[in-house]
Amino acid sequence: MAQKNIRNFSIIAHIDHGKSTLADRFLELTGALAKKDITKQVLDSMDLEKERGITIKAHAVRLAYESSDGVTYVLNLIDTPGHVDFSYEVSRSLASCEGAVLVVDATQGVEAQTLANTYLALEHNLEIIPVINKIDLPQAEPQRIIQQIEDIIGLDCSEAIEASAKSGIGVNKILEAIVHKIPPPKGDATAPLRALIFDSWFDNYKGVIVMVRVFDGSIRPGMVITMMSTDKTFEITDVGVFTPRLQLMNELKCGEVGFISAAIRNVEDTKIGDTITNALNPAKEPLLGYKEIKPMVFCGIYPTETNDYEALRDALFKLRLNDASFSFDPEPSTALGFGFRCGFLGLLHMDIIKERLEREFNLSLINTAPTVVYRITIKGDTVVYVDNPTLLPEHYDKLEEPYILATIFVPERFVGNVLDLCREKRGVQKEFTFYGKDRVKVVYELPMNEILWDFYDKLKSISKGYASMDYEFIGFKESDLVKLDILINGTALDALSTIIHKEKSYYKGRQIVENLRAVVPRQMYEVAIQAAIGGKIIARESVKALRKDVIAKCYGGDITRKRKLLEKQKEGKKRMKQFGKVEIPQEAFLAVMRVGK
Amino acid sequence: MLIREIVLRCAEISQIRTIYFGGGTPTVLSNESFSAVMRTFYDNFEFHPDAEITVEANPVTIQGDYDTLLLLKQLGVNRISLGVQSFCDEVLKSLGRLHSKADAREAIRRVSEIYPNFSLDLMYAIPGQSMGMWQETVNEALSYNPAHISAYELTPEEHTPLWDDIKAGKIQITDEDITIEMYEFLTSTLKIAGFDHYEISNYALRDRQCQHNLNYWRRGLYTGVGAAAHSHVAVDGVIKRYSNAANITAYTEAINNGTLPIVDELIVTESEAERERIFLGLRTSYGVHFENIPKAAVELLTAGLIEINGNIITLTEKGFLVSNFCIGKLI
Repeated sequence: MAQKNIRNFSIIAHIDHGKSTLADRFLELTGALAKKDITKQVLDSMDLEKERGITIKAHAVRLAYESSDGVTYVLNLIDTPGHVDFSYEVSRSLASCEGAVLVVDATQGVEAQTLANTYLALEHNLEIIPVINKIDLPQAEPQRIIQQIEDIIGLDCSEAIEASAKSGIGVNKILEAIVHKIPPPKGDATAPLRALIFDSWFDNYKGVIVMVRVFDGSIRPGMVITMMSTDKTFEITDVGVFTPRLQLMNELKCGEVGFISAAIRNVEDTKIGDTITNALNPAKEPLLGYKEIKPMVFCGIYPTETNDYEALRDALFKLRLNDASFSFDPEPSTALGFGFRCGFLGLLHMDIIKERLEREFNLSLINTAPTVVYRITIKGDTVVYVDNPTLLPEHYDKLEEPYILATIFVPERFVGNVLDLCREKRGVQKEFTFYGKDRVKVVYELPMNEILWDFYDKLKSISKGYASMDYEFIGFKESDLVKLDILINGTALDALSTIIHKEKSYYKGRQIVENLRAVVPRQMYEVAIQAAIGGKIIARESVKALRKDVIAKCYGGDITRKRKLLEKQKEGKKRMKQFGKVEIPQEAFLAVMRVGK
Repeated sequence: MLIREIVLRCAEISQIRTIYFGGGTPTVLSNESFSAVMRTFYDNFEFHPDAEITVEANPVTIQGDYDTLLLLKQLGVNRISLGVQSFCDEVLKSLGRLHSKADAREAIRRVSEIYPNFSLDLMYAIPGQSMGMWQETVNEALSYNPAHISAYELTPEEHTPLWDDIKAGKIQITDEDITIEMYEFLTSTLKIAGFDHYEISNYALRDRQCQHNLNYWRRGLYTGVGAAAHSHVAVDGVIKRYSNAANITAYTEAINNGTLPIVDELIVTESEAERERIFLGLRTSYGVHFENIPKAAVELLTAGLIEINGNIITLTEKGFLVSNFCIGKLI
């Protein structure tokens, strides 16, 4: 395929604005799949993705499209993950494209995520094709939405396409625009190989499958390649594309998008954003933009049943084969036994991994409250990073917490609520702009710690679901933080320690002990629950000793019901963690997270 | 209908050791019907020479009915259980009972004349019931020299008006400390009066334990007849528990077809049977035999909640008070 007939593009859209439906329509119109084979949204192949409606892993599909000019073009549709946790993956997918289709719902308008990804695309000099989707809905307002895109993004929308992916309106127009507006890939076919890794996953038969965009040169089976960030070399076994079925090729040429496999056993060796080159004829410089992605959110994950530790370890190893962006290290806890401290890109990433562990590996797990990474300076110049509140040293010179820059879009009628929320979360306003009649963009600097607890849920509820948010990490800042310990009968329960802002510590300490009192069952002895900062008790509750059960009758008709009740009680007991003489139920470990404000 | 079911059940029963006619029997069944039911038993089954035949009665219906009490006696009934609950009109009203304390007194007088073996049901921790009221009730109950006393704590059940009132905050449940005091007054007073606290909520004079209920707690077999009655039977070596249909139409239909109106049949597995043995046994003062004493027993023993004699664990008076907790540890 001649380089000039290749078009590499992504679709940028907010959740539910119609990205997957449009992709399905492309597959159908180009004959890649018969209509009956399209099992609703082919690109989202993982069950979890389908359930959450979010694309977690990027894929790429190669389509052959015969344009109205009589030429057949190769269209490479590179899918992008739809959540802020995976923004680096998005940026690498976009870097592999020359253009993007921007899909905006004609009834909803621009959302924060759309804006962030469009800006990313513009940074990479991508040609943007604006599409106003769902124009067949009665409440569609295409003109207002076009105006909004021009105002907010500053994008010329004079040639925006009005479409309905669901009913097929305008889809041909979009394909034509892709062919005629998006430029063909540049790149030197004769230069040494440079291919960008934008996705990779583990396959039981082929080892790691690596999705690449070839920028210079070409790549063939038998070639020995070098990963430029690590200098590791591998011999290519297969190259090919997904149409969406896997199809082997003789080579991937300059400008093309496809996969390679090279008997790579470890997904960590194929870092997203890395450049692949020819080991025998290496490129001088890697492609721009590579960075090591680091987990931002940490929590302890423990098996409910102590003897499931090995099973949990095996499951974590297996999941990591497919996802090098989360980390895990063994971690012992006095309260929870042996488990792992796991690091994730964000909260959604954490939820996904935990859900997969429980669902795919049939494990029952307890996780501790998520925490960010703190930067601590000791003895003037030693810098350490702490991802577990229990490990915070007693003395330090400086304690810094990570900050984010959050961009929030919200209808004007809810903006007051959003400002209150951001202030409450220690936010500093950086921007406040009106767009059109009623849309406001607010930008805040916020401590990342504050958005871990319940920020997103609150944002949604105070805006009736209308606010959207995107954020990026901007660095560490010194804060007045303290470690809040929870003591059960005088001994600190390590898994319940948190690091929080001093001003909020009293309120939170009180809330946590109150929540705990409600979930810790009465036992033979009184249980004292205390919150402490640096040895000073700031709140106390007690669970009174159990003094009586109900004295009830138990005759012939009561026996089975009573037996089942006792068995249920026993089952609940099994899931409790023994801490000294006290039995702590699982809910206790969530009690810390359920603290409002 | 009842008679037809009894006949259908012939195969299940080898010998009758106890019969218990549950709540309201003398009211629901006319004297003629009751006679017919009893005759059916005598015609179809062999009776143990010391068979215990109990009728549960409530004070309103039985008090003026000397003839019925005599007839029951003639038909072989040898034990009456009276649902007195309280000797305080205020408390009886709060419980929604139809009888007054005068009705209760009159009923006891009549019953005790004919049946030396009678039992009184009492209830405590009732909203509006003071410690003093409860003491008076217990003392008065003892003054009639009953052979047996059952005493339960009021347990609000879901979907009852009482439950709704408590949820709505209209009625306050009895304070935990007062409930414990009531229980302690009951156990100590009955002990002094010579009663054996032989099950969590049952007390009896020597040899006056309710044989019928003991059979439940010893995991004995029993057959329940009538709508919604429960059974525990062995069919070809398989132990089952089931109940009859509670719905009268469904019940009648099955009997008319010559079948048993069984619903919710459950085969009791070996491990379930073992758990039944433990929890039912621990409810009684006879305790449970453990092949190996469970580890958790040590903690309970030091807390004074259980006693261990050889391999038999029994709950103490203090242990009865937190029986679910103890059973949960030992099961």
